Amino acid sequence: MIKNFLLSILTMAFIVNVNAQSITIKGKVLSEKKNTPIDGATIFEKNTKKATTSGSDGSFSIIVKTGSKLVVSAVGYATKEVNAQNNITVQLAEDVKDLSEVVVTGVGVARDKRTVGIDLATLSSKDLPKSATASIEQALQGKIAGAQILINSGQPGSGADIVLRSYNSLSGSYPLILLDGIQVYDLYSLDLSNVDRVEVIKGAAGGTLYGAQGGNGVIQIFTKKGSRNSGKPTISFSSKYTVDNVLTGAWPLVNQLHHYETNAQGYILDNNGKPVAPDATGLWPQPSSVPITLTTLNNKPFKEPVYDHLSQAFQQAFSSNTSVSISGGTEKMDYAFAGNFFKQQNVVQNAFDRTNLTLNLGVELAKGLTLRTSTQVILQNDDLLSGSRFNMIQSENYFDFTKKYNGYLPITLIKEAGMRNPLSEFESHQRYSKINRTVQSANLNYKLNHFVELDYKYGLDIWNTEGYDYYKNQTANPQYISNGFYWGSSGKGSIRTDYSRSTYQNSLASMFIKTDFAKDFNINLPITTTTQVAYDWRRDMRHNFWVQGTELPSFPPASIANTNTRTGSEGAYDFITYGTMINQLIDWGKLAGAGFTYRSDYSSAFGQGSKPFNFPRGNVYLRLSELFKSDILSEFKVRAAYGEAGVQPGAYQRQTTAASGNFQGTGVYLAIPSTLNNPNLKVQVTNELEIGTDLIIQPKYSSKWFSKFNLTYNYYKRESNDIIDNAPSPLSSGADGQVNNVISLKSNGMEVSLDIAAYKSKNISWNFGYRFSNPKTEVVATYLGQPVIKGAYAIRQGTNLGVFWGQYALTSLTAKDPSGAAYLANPANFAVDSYGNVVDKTSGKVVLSNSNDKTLMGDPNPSMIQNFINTFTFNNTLTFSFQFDMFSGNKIYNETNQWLYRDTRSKDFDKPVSWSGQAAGAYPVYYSSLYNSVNPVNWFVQDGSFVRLRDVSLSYIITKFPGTIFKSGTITVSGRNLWTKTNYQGLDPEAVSTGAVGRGYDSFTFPNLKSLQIGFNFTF
Amino acid sequence: MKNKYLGLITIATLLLFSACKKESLDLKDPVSPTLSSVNSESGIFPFALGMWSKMVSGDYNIAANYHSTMGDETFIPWGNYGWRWGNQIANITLPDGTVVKNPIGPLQKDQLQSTNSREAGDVNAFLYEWKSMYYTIATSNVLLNFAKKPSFTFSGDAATKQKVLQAWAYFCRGYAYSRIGSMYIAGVINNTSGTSDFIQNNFVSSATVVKEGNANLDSAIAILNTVTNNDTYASMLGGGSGISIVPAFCNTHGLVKPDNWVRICNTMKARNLLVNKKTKDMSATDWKAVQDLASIGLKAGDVTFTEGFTPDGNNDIAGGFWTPSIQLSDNNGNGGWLFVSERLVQEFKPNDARLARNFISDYGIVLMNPRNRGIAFGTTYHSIDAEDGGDFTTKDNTTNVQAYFVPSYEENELMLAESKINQGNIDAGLVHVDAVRRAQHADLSAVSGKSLTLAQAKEELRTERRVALFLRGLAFYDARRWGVTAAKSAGGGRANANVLVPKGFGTYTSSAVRPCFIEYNFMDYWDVPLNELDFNKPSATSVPVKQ
Repeated sequence: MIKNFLLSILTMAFIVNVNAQSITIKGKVLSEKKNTPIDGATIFEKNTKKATTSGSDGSFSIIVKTGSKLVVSAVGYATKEVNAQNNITVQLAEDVKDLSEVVVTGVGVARDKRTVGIDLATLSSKDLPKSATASIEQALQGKIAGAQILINSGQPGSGADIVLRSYNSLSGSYPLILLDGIQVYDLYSLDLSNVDRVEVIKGAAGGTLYGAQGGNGVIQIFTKKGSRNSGKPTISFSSKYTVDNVLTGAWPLVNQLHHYETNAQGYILDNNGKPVAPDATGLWPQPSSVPITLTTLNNKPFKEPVYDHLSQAFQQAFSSNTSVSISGGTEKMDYAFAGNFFKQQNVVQNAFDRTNLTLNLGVELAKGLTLRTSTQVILQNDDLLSGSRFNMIQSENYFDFTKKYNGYLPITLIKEAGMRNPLSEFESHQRYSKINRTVQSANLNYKLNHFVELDYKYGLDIWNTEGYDYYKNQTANPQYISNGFYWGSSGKGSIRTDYSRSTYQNSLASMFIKTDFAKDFNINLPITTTTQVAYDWRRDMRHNFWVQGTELPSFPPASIANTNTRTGSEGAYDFITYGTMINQLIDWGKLAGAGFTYRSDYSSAFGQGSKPFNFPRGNVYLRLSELFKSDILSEFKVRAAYGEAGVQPGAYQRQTTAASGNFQGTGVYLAIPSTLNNPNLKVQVTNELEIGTDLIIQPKYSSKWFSKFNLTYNYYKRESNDIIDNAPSPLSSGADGQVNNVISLKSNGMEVSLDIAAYKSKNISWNFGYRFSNPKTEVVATYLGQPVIKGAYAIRQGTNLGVFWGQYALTSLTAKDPSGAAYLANPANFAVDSYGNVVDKTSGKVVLSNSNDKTLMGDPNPSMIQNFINTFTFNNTLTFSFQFDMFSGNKIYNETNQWLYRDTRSKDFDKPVSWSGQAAGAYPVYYSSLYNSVNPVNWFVQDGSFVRLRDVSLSYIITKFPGTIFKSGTITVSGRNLWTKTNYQGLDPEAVSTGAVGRGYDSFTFPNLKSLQIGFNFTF
Repeated sequence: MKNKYLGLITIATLLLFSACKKESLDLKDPVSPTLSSVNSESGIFPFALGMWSKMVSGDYNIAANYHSTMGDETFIPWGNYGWRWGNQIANITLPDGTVVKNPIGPLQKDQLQSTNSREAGDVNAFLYEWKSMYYTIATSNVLLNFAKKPSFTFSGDAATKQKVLQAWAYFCRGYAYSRIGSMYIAGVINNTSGTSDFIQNNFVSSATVVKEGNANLDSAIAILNTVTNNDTYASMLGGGSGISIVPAFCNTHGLVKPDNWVRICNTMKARNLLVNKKTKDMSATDWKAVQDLASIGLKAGDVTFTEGFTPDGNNDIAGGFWTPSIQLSDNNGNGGWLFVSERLVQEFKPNDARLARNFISDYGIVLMNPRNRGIAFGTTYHSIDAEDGGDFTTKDNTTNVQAYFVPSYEENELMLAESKINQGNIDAGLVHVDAVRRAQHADLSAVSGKSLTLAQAKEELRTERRVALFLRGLAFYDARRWGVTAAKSAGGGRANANVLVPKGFGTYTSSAVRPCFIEYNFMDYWDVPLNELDFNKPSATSVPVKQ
């Protein structure tokens, strides 16, 4: 049936219309089992080009010749052919995962997915989880094997770290983002409710089509379109309400007992011998500094009232998300308008909101000539104050951060470098940021004849931001008066405004030439060819500037004009790239095919900018299922692809520039930059070999159980060379290095996507999806073989990218240092304790390896990422679905806990430890000794594996609203991140640092949120 | 119809193609100037001004804090930039005989050497002085290259402009080599750096590096002797309305005139001699040489190059953050890193007006054995900010507090004092001690003419150097040359050193400041940082680069 449909599409172009009487057919497309309307189904008049799509209530209208046939298809459903008759109801059977869908990304030409030689993951709007409200990134989490989408913060408006397969460079992994065929800056802030489908290419094998941009993979978003000939417009309305709480983990972070000196009544004393108490401004003294000796025990209960700082730090927050859409169309045009308003409170302070307005218009200007334009306007505001809450966590249990003194929350509760009460920030600090973003794309397509199609796309992504940051004059704050404490850079306040404008333009002209040997040349071979020639031009222009005024008067208004000193600066960025591409596809019927692509790119960022870089690609597929025509193995394709793609250097890294600055009152100065640019910089190149198979198995042993298995498997092997990084030079040369192409990485891995129709009966269906990947990147070569140092992190040749190195606690009394000398001159003075660490019996301290004796402590990259997606449908009206995301084998460096060790505040301090000759006790001297190094220590490396209930939702569909204007409605109750199983002892195993370097550190970043949601959706 | 649309599309496409010429790729950074800008009068002055961003950078100030804490005039218990390990003393003997070891274990040398790696990142103590001084040398090299070019054209008083720029380059290079040679066991002499690939791998001894420093100072002197203090000169040194190579918020004590600048160089040369030899090994010839140089060094009324900062804290050379004047402030909104040492406070005579003006003990205990990091980290004193009449620190960056990084008049006077006392001219030497006390408004009665013994005179000199030269980068040099930082077994350490001993240590049941014996056992000279050696292997003829 599917084959017939495709054949009909292919042959349609060659059939000359015959005159016949036309009739208008109105009808409805419904799902066979659920009896629910299918939105966006395509209805073709067979053997013609005439087509329409169904509205969200499933209805359509099309004018066809009498006696003709209609071919009805929809993504996710099996295609059906019916006789054209008015008031027809077409019921489509669900397909677990339909390989016959038409794909575009990385293919160039819209093409049946079965005849594509690369792996192309797709996702339609119905696959997106119900609980995702905030962003497209959220919705994609766990849906695509090999796509790591890491959201490491619950802060409203947080973007995501996206890694497709593995890292290609040290500078970032963010893929190329296309919106309806044109490149835009990123996914951030795009309207989730308006997404129709998503296509993802994970690597260079497919990304070559995008040349020097495609090295990190490609994500393409298609927005919803209206339907032609839909009659009345379809209006739908949806609204969601969410309650958010931060994830706090199952383990307490801080101690419940203490070791401080107390008086007879058990109250903690300060250094002057008095019970600790705050002064009139809320400032507390240090507890008494008596020595912590071997016998000091962390076993005293607090007599003072104590406070749960975690619950003081975070509050419950609410959000709402409302969408309205109107879509429809006439014979020659279609339209879809969508409006979305999203408002999210922060679990710390203040709120975030975003408005998206989208209009998508398609017009048939003349026969074969269509114009489509899509405009998305985004207005985003926030006044978030999201300062780290760690100062609260590391503070003494008896501090009350919410207590006011003289009408003020104290700025700090204890006099110590950097210590702040983050809750007090809002009293002195106001800020906002506003983003106005407009994404516009226009597409002119002309089907000249059955050989030639011309296509031109132009896209524009304009991004304006305004930032405002105001610290009040705080000279009246009691803590400023008594201690000079203030927020910001001056006690007298400051105001800073930032403006930036970014414009991304993308112009893409393509010509497609299609031939069919049998039909066009009368050569009796089932060969068809498609040739694409394209010219692609992109420009990214950014400009930003800021002004700051410092020292405000104490009288209003607060304005930069009224400040004592004013400073400002600007930044700019301009980047152009263009390239030509030829893409040749040859197919042998439905059996086999091959594609070859060659792309040549110029870029303003390349050294010697006038020289192009070239990227080849080739891929083949063979559909073995065509050869043996099995009912059980209905699809079996093997494919292989090789491609090269690039990652561009920074816009001006090839220009030799000086550092400059300004000495106030004197003027500009020039200086040698600490890292020199390089005029000979090359593009970073990734090559990838991808081998895979797609197969569908339809066992016949039961009509209900396991009727269909749909499997996609990929193996990939990747190498990235000429990765740009600082090539260090000795400091005596006058600089610390020069950017150069110095690092090589490689990776390989596999991905599995399995979708199963697990159960199907008249009233119940169960679909199960499984995703697997095992990403890992190895560092093949570094500059001169020397470790690459990035801040506190080292990358060493021959190890996996991102692994942790650190000192280790000795575990053997005969341990040796790197020179081969024994660590312990007199082992009798040491013992192995109940944790297995070597402890000095006289001091009670753990013995760490030397700071130049480091060990590989763990790998933050998961050895396996698995996702389990289940959907149950009952009586066609009730849908229950849930998704588990599972990360295994990833390690986390619990720096939060290490810092709490420094402050003698970790929960671990309450736990007893013992060793030979020393009774079990909670010895602070023991635990403190594990911090005593600025280097990381293996003690703080923990297993970060977790299983998380990412999404759970229950939807009830109401199809009958007698006597109302509603056509259909849905009520959904859902939850996100509701349950986590992990042995990790921090707040959230996902709230760790991301990026190629310095990944997997828990430095008390903002945890993710646990959300509960109720949503309504009505169609009129 | 068809052809019309086809035509339109073809034209549009062709237009686009033709719009994309290769020339369009030649996009220049619209914000950053190029280094070639230095090859003009309008660029070379800003480049000379930029010297300050290297010479007294954040890195320089981090290193300055190491000098200060290792000289035990201040202390830092925090691990940022590795500071905590720099002033990690070996042990303290309490008056009851209890020996309190540093709670970490290793001696300073082992600790600092173990973090001498690129991997140690910003906790590598050896990194900062090396980096800021070699960056200064490279900047001087580039500046000299241009300023010495015969073809370089200056407008107006070209001779003065060229000479001042050259003198500035030689002076800064001389200063930088002097500091490298006075702190590291080896260094390279690289008078051609400033390009990324220019490397010298012949590591020479400290003495050779200091000698190169003196040679550069001599070159500066030779040029300055031919410069007159005219309007061009005054403007360049920040004393006029025109182009300046000195930030307006620095040197606020006044204009450094050419002869004054020569005397700075001479004092610097005297310092190079004095601080690089153990005092016990100084011969009469050495003392004579110090005296000879100091006698042509800075004199009363002279000013010197100083580092300041702007009131808003945004525009300072060192980012408004690392400067001791800000970090030592008790009322520092950022929370201070630096604390005044009890061992400094005890050097003041009780009636020294500088004590009452600058340090006060009104809180009781300010800090004591924080996080059990050691009892050397404790004080009952805090600084009085300039806003409240003090000399050294400021809470709001609002006053004219200046940090010293090159020699000052007081240093020169005390070198005269020390050289004279050690040559037996006790009273002549003490006259200079009195002069310093007068200059700093100590309100102390004179010690000259009081028939002090040699030992008494040396003690007056010692305490005066500690007090008068507080935060002037000399505390560690002095502790090293006087033998204080040597191992106890080698005669080092300090007796009667005031330590805030918390109760619970030894036999003490109350916390109090007690006279103890401190064994510091610090490295004399530092190893070359591996940030250098990882990419610059010493040549076969090089001297050892680590101990």
